[in-house]
Amino acid sequence: MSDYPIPAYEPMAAAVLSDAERWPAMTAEGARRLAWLRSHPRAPLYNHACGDRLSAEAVARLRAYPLEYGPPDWVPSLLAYARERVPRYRGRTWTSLADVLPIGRHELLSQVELSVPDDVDLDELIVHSTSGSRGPAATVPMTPEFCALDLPLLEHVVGRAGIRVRGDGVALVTVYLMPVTYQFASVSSYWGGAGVVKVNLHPSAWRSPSDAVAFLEDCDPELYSGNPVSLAALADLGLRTRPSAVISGAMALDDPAALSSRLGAPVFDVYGTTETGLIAYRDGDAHTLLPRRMHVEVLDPAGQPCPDGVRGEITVTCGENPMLPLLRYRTGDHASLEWRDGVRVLVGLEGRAPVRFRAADGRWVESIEVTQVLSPLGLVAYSVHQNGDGSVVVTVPVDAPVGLVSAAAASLLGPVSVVRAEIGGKAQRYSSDLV
Amino acid sequence: MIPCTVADMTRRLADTPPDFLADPAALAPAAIVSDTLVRLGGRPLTDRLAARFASGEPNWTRLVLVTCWLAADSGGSPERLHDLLATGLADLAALVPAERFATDPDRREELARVLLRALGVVPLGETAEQAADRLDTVDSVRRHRLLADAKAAEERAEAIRRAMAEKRAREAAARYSQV
Repeated sequence: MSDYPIPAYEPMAAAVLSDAERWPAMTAEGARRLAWLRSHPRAPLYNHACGDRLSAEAVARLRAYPLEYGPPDWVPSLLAYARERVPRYRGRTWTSLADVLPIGRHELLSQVELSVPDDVDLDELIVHSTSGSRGPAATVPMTPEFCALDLPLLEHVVGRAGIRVRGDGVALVTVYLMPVTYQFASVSSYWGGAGVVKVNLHPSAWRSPSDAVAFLEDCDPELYSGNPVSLAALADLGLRTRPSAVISGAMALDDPAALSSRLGAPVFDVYGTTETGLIAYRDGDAHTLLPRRMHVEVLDPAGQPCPDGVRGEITVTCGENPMLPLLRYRTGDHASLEWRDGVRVLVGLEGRAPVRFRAADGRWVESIEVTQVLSPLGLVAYSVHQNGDGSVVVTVPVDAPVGLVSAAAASLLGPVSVVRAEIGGKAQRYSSDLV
Repeated sequence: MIPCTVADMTRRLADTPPDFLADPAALAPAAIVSDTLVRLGGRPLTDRLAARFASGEPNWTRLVLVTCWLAADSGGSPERLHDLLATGLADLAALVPAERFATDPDRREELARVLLRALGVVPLGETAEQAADRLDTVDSVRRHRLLADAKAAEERAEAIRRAMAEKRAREAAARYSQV
């Protein structure tokens, strides 16, 4: 792995806090569970440590989170707050949300400090990187509490199928499949100290090939979360244990029923972004908006709201992340909005289809892995295409460092050609004539 | 108020007698203020009001005296002049040495316009909008506030960038779903 161009993944180099800082509300039960996970002889090669960083007060607020639909009557106060406290919006003279110019991903994240309110305590700030599936990976500021808003929302999603999270063992294992990514053992104060583990199913992430099965069967988590690719790899393991439910995200899941049958548990497909948190979950042919204080619009290219049933860009207004209030944030994803049974749903959500490439040695490489090696190079844009004969062309902007791009892509795929060209904003990022 | 242009007033400031800019301890500032108000048809200062001018911060006191010189022949409202002298000059005095209102052309224009605004008078040859606009451009207090706001904003932005780069932020918190 020494030639792998991601310096951030040096084992444990990014783990800097004490356990007391990681779990301010740690219970004795949680401490026992954590010790068990950390010392498990078949555990993956942990290379990071990560807590929930939730105070007892934050846990209480999350447990009381009102999972209810309501009118967006909080929008005027969010606008007033943004005018007063958010540098980007200071002194604006809006009278309603319709006056707010939508903001795109690049504009929001390239100068993200302009969107952080003046009055938030930066001691509370954490950052997460975006997956890079919508453009160059970027860093999103948030609070631990906003990050953990997933917990009541995921409980809501599985709860609609009558599934309850007990939180009496390992509650959740989130699975990835990448050459290198963080793996860590954690516990959740929200779930009373139940275990939460992030694992990488890539063989290089374990001491021995049989450890993944042994460890995951021993954990026997209530929930798995992952993406269609990593969950397929999980199914390939043929575990004898069955979770209560499986959460799939990050990419379009084409066939939930097939995955569900392979994993022996219902699969719930969720949609969201790092910037917004979870937005919707799939229910049949549509994605139902989650019961959050979040206002979702669908806008046309001119920024005007589309009538119900007309496709446009999913645009989010939400003040739930204190570090990054969003006013008409264009997600880059497309769908139409409709009412169904009194609830707003997204129809025809165009997720980011997973693309895989065949490496020179015949191995299949997922597009997210390509993102991982190319995004550290700071390219403004790029596209990767595999021709029917297996040759791979990487297109980069005219000022890009071709030698570095070539070496980074070759570390995964074998020899590639790198072409310099003007790249349009909406170009399909990954494509393949194979498959 | 005797109609006048800003140029008339800045000329008068350029001719400020050195006595008005002397060490206030050597003068009787309250008496000068009181005489000016009377000259404009007002009442003399009461003892209570006089005490404020007798013991003020030196640069503020000098600015009060220069303003008295400027206003003495203006024919303006003594009540409005008193309000300006008593409460309207502290921010300016904190930023600019008083002698510059006699020696620096921009500061002369500023003080002339500050006085005219306080007296509720539009300078001869200007509209109210032009006068307000022109005062904005020479307004030291406003400029200082804008610069301070810009500096504070840049310091905050730098603090956010630093916080986002800190290892304790990057260790982050566990994520539960993949998006």
